[in-house]
Amino acid sequence: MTTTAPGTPPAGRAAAPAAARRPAALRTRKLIPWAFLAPFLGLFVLCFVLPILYAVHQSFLQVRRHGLFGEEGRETVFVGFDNYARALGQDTFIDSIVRVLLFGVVQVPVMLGFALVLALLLESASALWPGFFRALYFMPYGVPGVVASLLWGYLYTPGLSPIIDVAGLVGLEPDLLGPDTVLWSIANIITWLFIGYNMLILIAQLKTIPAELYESARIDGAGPLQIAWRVQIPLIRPALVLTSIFSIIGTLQLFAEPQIISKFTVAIDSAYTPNMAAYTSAFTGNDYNVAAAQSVIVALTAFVLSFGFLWLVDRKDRRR
Amino acid sequence: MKVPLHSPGPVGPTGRGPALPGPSRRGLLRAGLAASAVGSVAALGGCAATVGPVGERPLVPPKAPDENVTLTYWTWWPALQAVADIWNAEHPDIQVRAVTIPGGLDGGYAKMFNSLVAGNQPDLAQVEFFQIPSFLVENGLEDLGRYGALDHAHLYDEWQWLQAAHIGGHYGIPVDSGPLMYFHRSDKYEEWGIGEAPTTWEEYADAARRVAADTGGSEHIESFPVGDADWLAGLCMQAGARWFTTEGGEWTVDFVDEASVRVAEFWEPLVHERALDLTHAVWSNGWFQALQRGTIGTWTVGSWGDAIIRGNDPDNPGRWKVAGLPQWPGEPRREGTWGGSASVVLSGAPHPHEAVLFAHWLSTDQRAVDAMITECGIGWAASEQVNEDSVRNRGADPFFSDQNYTGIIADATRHIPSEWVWGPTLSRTKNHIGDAFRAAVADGTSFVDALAAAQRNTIEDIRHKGLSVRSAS
Repeated sequence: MTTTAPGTPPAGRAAAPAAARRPAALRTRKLIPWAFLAPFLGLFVLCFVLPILYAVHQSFLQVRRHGLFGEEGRETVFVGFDNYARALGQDTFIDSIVRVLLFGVVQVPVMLGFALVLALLLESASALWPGFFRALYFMPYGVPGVVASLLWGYLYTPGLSPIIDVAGLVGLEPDLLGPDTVLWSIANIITWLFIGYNMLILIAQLKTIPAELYESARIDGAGPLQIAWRVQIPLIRPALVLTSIFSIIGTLQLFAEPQIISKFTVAIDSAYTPNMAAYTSAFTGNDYNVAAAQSVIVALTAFVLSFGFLWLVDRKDRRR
Repeated sequence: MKVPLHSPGPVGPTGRGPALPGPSRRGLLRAGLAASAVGSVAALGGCAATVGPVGERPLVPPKAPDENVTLTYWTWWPALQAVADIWNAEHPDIQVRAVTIPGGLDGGYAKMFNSLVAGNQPDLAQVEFFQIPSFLVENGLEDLGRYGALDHAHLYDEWQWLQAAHIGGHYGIPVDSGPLMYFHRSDKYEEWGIGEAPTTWEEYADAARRVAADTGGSEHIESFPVGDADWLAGLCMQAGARWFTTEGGEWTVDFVDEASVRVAEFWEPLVHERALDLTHAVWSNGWFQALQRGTIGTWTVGSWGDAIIRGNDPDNPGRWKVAGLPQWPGEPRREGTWGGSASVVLSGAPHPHEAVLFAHWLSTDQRAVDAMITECGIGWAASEQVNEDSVRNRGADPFFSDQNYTGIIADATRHIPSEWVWGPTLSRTKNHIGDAFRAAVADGTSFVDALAAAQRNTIEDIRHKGLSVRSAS
């Protein structure tokens, strides 16, 4: 978003003569913002920066053991990128990354497309009860992912699911939990969960479009579709970029939904998504070093994709 | 070992020292952040190293006679406190508090491993036999031989006791085990014309094919436990396989020895021909229902399955029977096991002497065993004696068609190979077997190849733990 403030606050100029008189007061004043920031910074460092540094540190270590169980000695050694090589050497881990990328390429555009259409419909002049429908569409976001997965898991299970019963009436026997379909069944859960959330972000920015723009567009003879295409969508571009980046990051971190659905089907293995692979390494194999390397790889992938996407969007902007 | 010892706290003593000039707010803040950062990093990095190799750790002395201690026992049996209360009433100076944790591979073991690093380990924990080597790899268990456990060895079934013995030490007190038993619906066996339980695997295969053919595939002798590594390991053990052996500080992994290949080649055609049920996954609701209705007539499972079978079909005594496993012709009689757990003392726990006293009482006191049978639904208790004297053994059992249930299991336990060894990365091995067999069943491919794939991955895992390992073939 480009918000250009009409002028810098006069604080700097007013403070200058005061500082000349009382340097101690200036120092106190400079400290004030830090004091306000301190609770955030403290927790941020403790709960975010340090664990990340610790994970990166762990990802470069391995335990060497002597004897059958390490009873004749063990040492923790620095191994450089060996844990990364191990992580990337596992076919199942590579498969899991490819799987979530495929998932993202399909699911993110579908979800954001729906969210955009809903947002535009609810913000159009002819929308009926927009407040009610906004709340209604947003509601699934209030359901925790685990609960949503359980709920949909039952809706996917033959014998329990009314959806499959109804499909049976018209002669269809969908296998929603099979090896080829379960990924898209999970995509459906995520889409259901997050459409309303993304819609709300888009609506928030739609509301910042000044009424004069609509007015002048209409005077120029633009219909509702043209207003959406030529006025609204270009102006909410920042919100679209933001929701895209959130969705890309969220896709790579897919965990709870496949973990729960794995209780309903044998088609989800222990390393179905990168995060599940890291979880299995850490909590089943008790190998925190490889798990740390896997986590760092996931984080770096998210980083590269997010910034790659930003760069792409930015470049198009500049070319215009 | 406790974390706070390492940490100087968010504001170190220098911040409060009266002799020092009053620190600025920023200075204080910075000092606090730095101190907590250094403190937590030291705590995270330093703890694991404070526990040395098990033999070199100093012996923890027993408590003083007038000292009162409270032991914590981590278990996944919610009702274990009721059993511990029997002990607590008689031992005011050693109180035991049972804490329910998630089942082993559902998060319980991860919790124990983390407690070892954090230094807040419980005095006692329940660990399955197959997981004991994995804990040894992390230097996580006390050698209970140093705390008097060996004095009681003669009171336990040898094949159970030995499952906790490794590299000259003893790392657990057996609580219960699961000899693999052949539970079957005798009424359906009559109806299908099989009669008694098959005595050889050939008879089993014939019966399986006949039932599937005669009923047009609507009824089956058994449901194939797709991807169940415990079941597979039990059957390979029964065939005489030894998946893991050790020699001179090196592991040898052999999932494709003659016996394991025989087992894999036996089940593969039965599965691919659909002579066994594949639609109802074992443990699913549909499967329980099929056992009740009799469209599935067998469950090969650890002896602890009896409580589950009774619970699933309580109103129809006389339908079920139990037998030892079908045998391989030309081989001596052998049986297998599925499951079983021991009480262990995690290394660094403060009261190993008292922990061994309680663990021994839990496994061998008749009241404790009876309470565990009725409250926790345990399988075969730690010795033949306590099983024969138990509440479960009251002569002919009407539910199991008036068979002497305990006697049949006791008979089977005498043929369980005691040389079976579990590998040091078994939880991952179970994943590998599960993944490989699920794929083999889905794609109709070779079970032997699935075993070979699981072996390759397991060797890789062991090597990644920094241990020396080789493949037998």
